[in-house]
Amino acid sequence: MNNRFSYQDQRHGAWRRLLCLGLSLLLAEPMLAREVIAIHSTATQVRGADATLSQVTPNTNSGGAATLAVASLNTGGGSNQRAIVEFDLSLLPNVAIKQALLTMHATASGVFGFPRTYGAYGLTSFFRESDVTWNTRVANLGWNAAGGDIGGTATSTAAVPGGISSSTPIQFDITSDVQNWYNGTPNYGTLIKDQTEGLNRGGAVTIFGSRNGTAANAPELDVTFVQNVTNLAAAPGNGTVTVSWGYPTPIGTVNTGENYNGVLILRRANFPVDKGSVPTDTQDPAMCSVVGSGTVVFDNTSLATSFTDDSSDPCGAPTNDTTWFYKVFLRDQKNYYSTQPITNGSVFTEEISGTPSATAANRQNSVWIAATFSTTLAAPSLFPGSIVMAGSQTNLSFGIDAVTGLRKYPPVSLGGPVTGRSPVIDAGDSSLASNVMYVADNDGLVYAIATDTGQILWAVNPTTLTTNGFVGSPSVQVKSFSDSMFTLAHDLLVVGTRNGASTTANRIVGIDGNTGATLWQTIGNAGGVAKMDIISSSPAIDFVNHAVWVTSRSGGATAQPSLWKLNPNTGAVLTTAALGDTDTDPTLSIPGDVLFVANNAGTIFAINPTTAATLKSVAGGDGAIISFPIALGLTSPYTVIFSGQTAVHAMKYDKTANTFTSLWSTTLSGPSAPIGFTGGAKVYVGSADGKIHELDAVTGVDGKQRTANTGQPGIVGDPALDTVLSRIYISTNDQRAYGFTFPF
Amino acid sequence: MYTEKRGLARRAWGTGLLSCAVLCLAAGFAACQTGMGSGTGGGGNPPPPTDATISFCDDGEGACMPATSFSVASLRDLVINVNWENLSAGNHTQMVEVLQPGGGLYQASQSSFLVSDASQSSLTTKRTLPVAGAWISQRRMTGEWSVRVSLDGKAITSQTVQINP
Repeated sequence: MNNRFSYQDQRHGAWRRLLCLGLSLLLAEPMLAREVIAIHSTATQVRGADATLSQVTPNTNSGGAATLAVASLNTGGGSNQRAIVEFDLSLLPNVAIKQALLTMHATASGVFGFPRTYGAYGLTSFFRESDVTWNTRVANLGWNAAGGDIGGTATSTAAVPGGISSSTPIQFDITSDVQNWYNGTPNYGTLIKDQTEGLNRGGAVTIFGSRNGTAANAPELDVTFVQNVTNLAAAPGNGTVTVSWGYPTPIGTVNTGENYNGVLILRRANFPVDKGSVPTDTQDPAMCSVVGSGTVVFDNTSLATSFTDDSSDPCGAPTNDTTWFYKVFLRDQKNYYSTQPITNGSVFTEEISGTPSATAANRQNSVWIAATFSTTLAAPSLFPGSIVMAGSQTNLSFGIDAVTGLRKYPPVSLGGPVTGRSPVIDAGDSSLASNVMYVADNDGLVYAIATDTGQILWAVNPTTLTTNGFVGSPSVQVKSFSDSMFTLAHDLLVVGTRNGASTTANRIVGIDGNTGATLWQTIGNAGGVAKMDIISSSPAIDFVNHAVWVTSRSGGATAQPSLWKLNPNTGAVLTTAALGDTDTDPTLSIPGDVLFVANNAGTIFAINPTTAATLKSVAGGDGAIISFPIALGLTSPYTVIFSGQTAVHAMKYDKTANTFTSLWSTTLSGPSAPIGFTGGAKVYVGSADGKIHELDAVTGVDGKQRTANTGQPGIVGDPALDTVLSRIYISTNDQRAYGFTFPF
Repeated sequence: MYTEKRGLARRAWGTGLLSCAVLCLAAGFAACQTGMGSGTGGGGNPPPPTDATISFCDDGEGACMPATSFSVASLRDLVINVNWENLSAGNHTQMVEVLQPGGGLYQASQSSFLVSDASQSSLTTKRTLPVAGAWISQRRMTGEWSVRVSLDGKAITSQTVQINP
């Protein structure tokens, strides 16, 4: 009997549990996607940070303290304290955020004035943990508003009781902020403050654990998310495109009943599916239904790993010789997708493209597409075969896996837009002994970033002014490549300023690659230096002639210098030349015996790198030159290839005869700078027609193209070649970077 | 401790009542009249809505005279001035999005500022977009650009500007 009762009880209990589960599923808020992870901030997480900003000691940094404090105090006209917290999200590079809960562990609070209401705010300015104070955020730069740059409304608030004497969690829902961080808004962390500061008579203080103190009390971020698919690829055929993908290994704890079980694919002809075109979580759109600008062409819940889009497609077969874009949403059993709410964007959902054709030679496909969130036309930086780095004009730097196109880590948040091609130095060559990239931003900060992790090794304001932004990138004199004439102890960065308000007082800065210390500044119109107009280019390091070459504008004048030869050890001006306004990078021949400079009037100069004298010049005849010329050949005569406004041109420069001879010109719509390499048969150029063109290096014939995005405006930036993977990478003005294989 | 808390609570109530009276005075006599059944039907004039106007100039021309059309050949920096009116006191975050011809996002930047009191309800922020030597001039990205401004997450205004070949 007992067993029977027990059995019935168990059955009833089971039914009750099932009923409760069913009701909870019907009535409760939808469960939030499928993976959950708790990120506990620690001092060893290289991209994390926390500190207290104290109004009473406004210039004191507390970045390494074991505790954080939030206080409302009116003593002496203001003694408030605010805590700032930034999490290292490196575990979650390729996810869509469904929920993010910040838990601060309070270890002590006062009595007077409690309970208090604290608010969590998204910080809106870049800061460094080692520099940050109430007044200062990084280097010598202050906050716009002392005490931290934040908006007017807290993302979330929480009540804090008084009398806390043991660890007590205080939780803030910062989901919208974290979603924004995954949609192109820089992650500068979160500021916690009392909602009513300036409390009289003793004040109200709460102490929280920090990442440098007791581990159990460190700030914690509980993130619920859905990952993206992996290894997304497209293979075009005759009237078909086969799309294939993989499923990610869970990073966190999988919610019960929310296993990844398939994908939903949207398709669009000629253009990528718009950023805001996403399925709604928990819903399953019908086949062939339209979701924004995309059409549902595949709706799978059985863990399929490929889809062949062909004549059997009820939504219409992909027509030949049209580029088809596929946006692939990973989904779980409850139809949570790898996307975020539309208001917070979803552009990071994995995309791929393919162009079917009856002719095999005309079939093409991208190998990956990655979001950059803004127009970027600089050539991506890269460690061939490993990582592609792309800057953005939303103050981000992306580390993209060169093989898969997935992010290696969440984008690095910087202080300003990045528009130059940042140099990367291999650990074996760098004096920092780390794979490093040096970045200069439009707002005047320079950074060293470890490309393996995205950690910012240092960040400096080398001119100490706020008017000196950088449009071009730094160039690096690598110590290990240099001879004994280079006397500095470490690698040297050289970068020129672009202060548009001055035609005379721009400057060239030499920076210690290991520490970020400013070693020298060559300032225009000061200390005997000639007037110096804006610098939009990147310097050329001349290891042969022991010099740094920099180009600038010339104030519209003919006599003001626009080519500068500097001593890398001291920044002393060795010589100058007045070549007229010049925005392009100077280019050295491989043996270093000729320097090629192209000015904004379209003239190409062959310069003697010893004297800076012009050996020969020739009118390109096609307006201002784009970005830089390239010089191919191990010895003279050199093939100089450059883009003007309407065409790509090749000339032969014979040093012995001192002659330029035109080789070919190929008309292209708004060409980018060309890229090729000595011994290579092809030259690659981006264009304003949304394509990359493969030109024959000898004849200039525009033999094949690859389509990135032919939609408006469809401008393709300067390409970069990865000779390890035989891939070419470009960024565009459609907020994306693309990879293709080459030769086409 | 308990007595002290009650004492504090009593003082808090007293302080609250006093604060209420002070707030009532501070809010203006009309508001108090409403509470007394004056029949005005309102709580005083609502604060005027926050507004912004966007203007453009070329920083390279010294005086930075406002204009709505520029030549890409001569434009050095497009200075975007956002003149805010009727800002409430407190912290604010401004987002400036620069959209290229065709509507795609070219650049976005956010910045925060503090309005310490209502007497400072107007202010102008300045954002400089490099043009000379940058992609806009190099790749001849000419046409109708637009700038969209939001405050604390709410769209406020937008303005077009012509960059001519």
